[in-house]
Order: sequence, then C-alpha cells, then structure tokens
Amino acid sequence: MTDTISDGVTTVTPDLTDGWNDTLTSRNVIHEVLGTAEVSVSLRPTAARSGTAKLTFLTSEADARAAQTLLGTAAVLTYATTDRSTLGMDFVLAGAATVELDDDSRDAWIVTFDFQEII
Amino acid sequence: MPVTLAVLDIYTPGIDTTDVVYSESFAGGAGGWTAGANTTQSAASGYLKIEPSSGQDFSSSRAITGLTPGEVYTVSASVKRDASAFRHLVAAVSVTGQDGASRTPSQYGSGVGSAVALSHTFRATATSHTVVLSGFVGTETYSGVGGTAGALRFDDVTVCREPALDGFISGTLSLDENRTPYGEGIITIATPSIRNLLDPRSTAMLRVFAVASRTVLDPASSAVRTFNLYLHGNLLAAAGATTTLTARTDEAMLLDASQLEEPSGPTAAILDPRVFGPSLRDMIDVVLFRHGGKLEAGSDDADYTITHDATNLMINPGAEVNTTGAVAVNANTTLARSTAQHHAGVASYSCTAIGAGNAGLFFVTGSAGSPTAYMPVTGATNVYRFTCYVRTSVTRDVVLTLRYFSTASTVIGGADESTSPTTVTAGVWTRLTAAFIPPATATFVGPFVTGVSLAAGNVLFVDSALLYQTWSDESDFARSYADIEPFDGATASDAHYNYAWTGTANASTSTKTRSDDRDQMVLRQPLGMTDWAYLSNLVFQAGLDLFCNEKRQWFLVDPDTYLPAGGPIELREAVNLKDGSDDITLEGTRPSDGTPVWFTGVVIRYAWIDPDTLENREEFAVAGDRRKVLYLERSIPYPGDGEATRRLAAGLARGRVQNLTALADLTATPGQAVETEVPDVPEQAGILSSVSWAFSAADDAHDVMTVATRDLEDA
Repeated sequence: MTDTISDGVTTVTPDLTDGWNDTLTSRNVIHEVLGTAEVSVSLRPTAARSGTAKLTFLTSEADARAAQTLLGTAAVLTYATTDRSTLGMDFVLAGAATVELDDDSRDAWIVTFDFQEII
Repeated sequence: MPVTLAVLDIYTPGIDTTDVVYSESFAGGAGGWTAGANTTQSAASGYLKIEPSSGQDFSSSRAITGLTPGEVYTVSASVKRDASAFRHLVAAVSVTGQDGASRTPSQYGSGVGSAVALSHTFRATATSHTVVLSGFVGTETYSGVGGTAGALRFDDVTVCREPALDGFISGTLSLDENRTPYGEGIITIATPSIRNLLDPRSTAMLRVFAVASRTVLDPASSAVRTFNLYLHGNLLAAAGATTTLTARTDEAMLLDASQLEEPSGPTAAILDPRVFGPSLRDMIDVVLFRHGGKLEAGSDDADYTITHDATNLMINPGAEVNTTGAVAVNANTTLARSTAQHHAGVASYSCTAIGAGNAGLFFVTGSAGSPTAYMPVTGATNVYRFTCYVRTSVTRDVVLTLRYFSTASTVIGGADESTSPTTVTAGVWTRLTAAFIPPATATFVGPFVTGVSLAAGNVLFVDSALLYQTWSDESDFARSYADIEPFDGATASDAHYNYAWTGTANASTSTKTRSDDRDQMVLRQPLGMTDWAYLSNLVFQAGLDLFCNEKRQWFLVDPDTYLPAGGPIELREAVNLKDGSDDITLEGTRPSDGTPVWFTGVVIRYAWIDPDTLENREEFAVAGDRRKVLYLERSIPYPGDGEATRRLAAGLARGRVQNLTALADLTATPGQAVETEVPDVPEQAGILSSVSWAFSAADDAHDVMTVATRDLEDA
C-alpha cells in the first residue's frame, strides 16, 4: 500500500491516507415558472469532485512540510493510491493545506488539504 | 415542464485552426470548381479567374466533403482584381444554406489588384457542403472612367476546422432593434493562451463565432443559432484570470469609420452619392461596400434624387401655339410653327433655308418681328445654360451662339460665344447645350440656333428650348448636376418637381420647383462624420431601419411592415414565464439614449453651417402635440421631417412596456409578433423589441432569455 502526491518531479509519500471526503455539486438550474408548481430544468454537467483529504506522516516532520510545500506549488498535482481504486486523481489545491501535530501521539504529523479535481 | 440542455460554444476563427479539411491552390487547373450562372471561369495560371458573362453576379462553387456535422469550419481564400475596374467589384465567399456570406471591401482600381484575404465561418450540418466563391460588379459607368465589367482571381482556398475555446464561464447574446449595433455578444471565458492574439485592433478585423444550441429532452427537439460577430473588445480581469470578449454586429464598423478625405479621381465618381440618389438602397450599398457588406434583396427604398429649383427664361420654348418668342436669325430663314415635327408637345419651330447658306432662329422675349427684349442676365458671376432639341431635314452641323447686350438693344461687340459645330443626323432629335458666364457688362443675352450651310429648302426644327441660370460654382456639391432636361410650364409634375408658367401659358417664363424641402447637403458626408451617422440620417428620414443581423446580412426595412420569419413568440405564466415587469409610465428614460420612454410630441432642431455661405442655418422638424415633448438636436443639414414623425410613432407605441424573463427560445428575433400573459395583466399582443439570451457554466442566469416588447395592445 502506497499513497503518493506528485507534480511529476517531486513526489511525497505519506505513511497513510487518514481521511477523505469528496463531493460532486450539481450545476443544474431549476427554473421556477410563474403560475405553476411545475419546474423546468436546464441540465449542466457537475463540476469535478472537490473535497478534503488528510495525510499522515508517522514520524517525519520534514516530509509533512515537504508535502505542504508541494501542495502549495502552482501546478496540477497527481494523487495516487494503490489500495483505493476510485480515489486517484489530478487535482489542484482549492483551499487550505494545513500541517498539524497529532495531539495524541505528539509524534505523527497530519497534513490536511482541500482539493479540486481536474478533469 | 421541459428538461433541457443548453450550450454556448465560442470560436475565434483564424486564430488557432487545426485540421485542414480542404486546400486548393489551382496549380493543376480548376480543381473541381464549377462556374455558376452568368459566369466565365478559367484556371490556367495558378489561380481561379471568374468574371461575369452577363449581369452583375458571378460565381464558382465546389462541394467540400469530410466535414463533421456540428463542427465549425472556416473557408479562407485569397482574392485580387484581375484587371482595371472602375466599378464596384466585391468578392464574397459563402456556404450554400449556411450563415450568410463574408465579403471583401470593393476592389475597384487600376491594374491587377493586391491580394485580399477573405474568410467565412460556418457550422456544418452535414458531411458535405457547397462553398461558393462569388463576385458582384456595379453598373456604374462614367465618362472618362468607364472600366471593364470586372474579373476576380481566387487562390489558396482552404477549409479548416475551428476548435471551440475552452473555459467558458458565462455569456449573453442579444438582439435589439433600438440599439446600434443591433446584435451584441459579451462572453467571459477563463483567460486562454491565445488571449493576446484576440486583438480587436488587428487589421484582420477578427470575428467571434458563437454557436448557441438548446436541446429539449422530452419531447425531443433541438434548436441552434449561430452568431458571426465583429470582435470589438477583449478585457482581462487579472484576479479571476478571466477574459471578457465583446463582439458586435457589423454596424460597429460603420460607427467606427469616418470620412477622412474627400474622394477624388475615379474613386469620387464611384463613391458619389448623387449618382445613387434615386435609390437609398444603392447609396447604402456604396458605403457598405467599403466594409464588406451588401444589402440583402428587398423592396423598401427611398428616393434622394438631388433637386434644385430652376426658371426657364424662354417665354415660348416649343412654339406650341405660335412663334412668339423667336425671330429668324437672318434674311435666309423662313421661321414658322410646324406641327409636322415636335420633340415635346404638339409643335416646334421650323427654320427653312430660303437659299443656300445658314438659317436659324433667335430667342427673344417679345413677338415675332418686333422683339422688345432679349433674356435678362446678370454678368460675370453666374453660369447660365442654354439647351434645346434640334432636328434637321438633312445631316448638317448646328451651332448654339450667345450674343450679349449691354442694354436692351446694344450688342457688346466681339463678345459672341458659340459652341463647336455639332453634326446633327437627319431626322433625329438631338439635344445641344451651351454653358456660359456672361461678361461683366452684359444685362441681356440673345441665344440663337444656326444650321450651317443648308441648301435651299432644308429645314432646321427647334423645340424644347431652355435657358436658365445655374450657380456661381458648378462644382458645388449640391448643384453640380445642373445639366437639366428642358421643361416649361406644361411639363407634367412628377415625384420631384412641380412645373408652372409664371404668366400666360406659352408666353411667359416657367418655373420648376422642388417638391422636397431637405437641404441637399444631407447627401454629402463631411470629413469626420461617421459612416453610420451619414447613413442613419438618411435612413431615419425615410422612416426605414438599417441593421446587420447576426449572420452578417444587412437589411433596409420599413419597421411598420417588417416581419421576420418565425413567431409569434409566446411568453405565458404557467408555460415559460419566470419573471416580468409591466410598466405603464409617463416617467423614465430609455437606457440606450436617455430620451423619454413615452411622449406625445417631437421637436428636432437641425443646426448647421452652410458650406457655401458659412452662415449658421437652423430648421425645426415638429410632430405631435405639446403634452410631453421629446427634444433632440442635430448638427446636420435639415433632411425633412421624417425622423420626427417616425420618433413620435415609436414614442406613442411605448406607452406600455413589458420586460420579461422566460425560458430561452433561440428563435426569438426583434420584429416578430409577441403574445404575453403576465399575472394580473390582461393578455397582450405586440412586437418583440429586444431579446437577450444568457448562458452560464455555473450561475443561475443560464438558459433564460430577457425580452422587451413594444406596441402592446390587449389581445
């Protein structure tokens, strides 16, 4: 089991992917028409997945910082994982990339980032 | 309720073309191109030459295969004039049944022209379409400039597929009969890599091609509308990394372009609006030819024939009842009235030679045999013209002569002026003309007509004599077409003039009076005036509308009768109406020009400087009543009161205006009938005045249209 984030040159390998959520948001337009309860709908493709992922680096503060730095570069990044077949994607950082010391172990480093998948 | 899929695809033709579908350089002949009707075609020298065998339109066409329906393609070609042509010569490329045509500016000039790029973008609806290369040649012929019928060389014809721009964010497309330009597209995209190439200043005059499509899933139906617009703005917003393209219909070119120099040489003759005055359509085409446009066929037109008052100083121009007003020019002449020959009316003067020698007549203002006076003139300043029709019993030379008098009976010696002898063919009425400026001391002129070296019994007939004062400067714009046909008080009034005797018929001078009251200078485009200002003044005055639609087709229409195909557009609650306003107001101004929405009277003040006298001139055009008045000022010569009347009708029709938002209908077009059913408002029927469609990748303003109406009445 190996998870990686890469920009094609630099690759960071967290020890595990500790959390994940992704969302598809509809862009369909629901038209309300005067004088009727019925609606009209204009279909539009949804945007690609967006969400938040959490990566754990068990001991290496330096690796965690390198991951944050990589997430902060102006590039399309690739997330790959060998054991969850639907998660792999090209993505860009969409919000924050946070480095946090694990409260319990006081040893592990957790990198949390918001992503927008790129199709 | 419908479920729909609406998409707006944006193309920037010629910037980033990819697949070449077809390419032909005519190195090996005509390459399968076939001459159309009235066309002679040849392809021997690395280009395709086409020219008219008759008529004004000529073409060559070829089917292009390998197209993908739904994709957008651009046909490009290079074209040049084959030889000197001092007529309008316009090259065009079009695709049969698809999206109008694109044209070059008029290619008249001397010798072989320089190559001009020509391209036309279209959306394929089949795997094969017929591309048409065509030309149009004007019928103008001018003495001194002439010119052949015109031929065009086409070369390097290619058809390329256009890629759609990625990163569409939002866009509105709108058509508005009250706005110039009529059509507009404002489209926001994620800034593309080619953004710097989308330069509206480019001499290529870039286009934006937008394809709006809308598919209804159940019951299945689909509609597509293409917009071929002139790129006019390219605005980058750095923080959002977006680029907003503004594109307009082709009126934008006329709004930009102004008269920069007075036309001269052969160009002046080709561009002279006076030549085309009898047809406003022709006058408009002369301007459109400079912008790659041409009016679509139509019958709405107006007459701007240049007119001017004149007085015929001859008291009896055609011997209709007697020979009062003429005397024999010498003792060798027997002067009589003849009903055997006449050019106009029922009779003419006949001058029969008694013996061999000259014979002819003098025009005077008194009775035969006792001339009381010759024609009064003002010396040194004004140009006079003497013209008449003559006919001889044998082919002989005829001469017109002017004899000047310082008093009623004192000849100014040595001052006679004669025309060169003109050979008049026996039995053919021939018009002769002399233009002259009397000497400073002249107070009278005696015009006479002489048949040269007649034999005894030969007869010279003279009819339809005209002597009139023109103007101090015959090159003056409004007056230079001063060589007018003979007239008298019996001439039937027509669309342009009324004719009358000033006293007794056939025994007094006669007048020709204009029936229009416009200032002739409206026909002239002064330096700095935009092409649009020049044309719109004439178009408004005629009560017509000029616009270019989203397919580059120009129309001159009467707004009262113009009815585009399609419609009525129905906007009803419980069907497709999302929101709306119904405004009945005496207040408010129109956003387009700040004038009141509703009014009952119109006053337009025209104030201009007369270019002849440099005096300030002022005229008012007035219509309606005084309750609420629209006041406009124009710094142009007075064209008549047509615009005031037209604006009054438009103002009254705006008493009730509905602005409605509804589900999109891509077939809506200003001018179509519209029927509305807004909650709490009686059902209305009227005319669609403007429509704007909104498309968006993420916002709610998507797949909807906003419509404005006019002329609403309870249905």
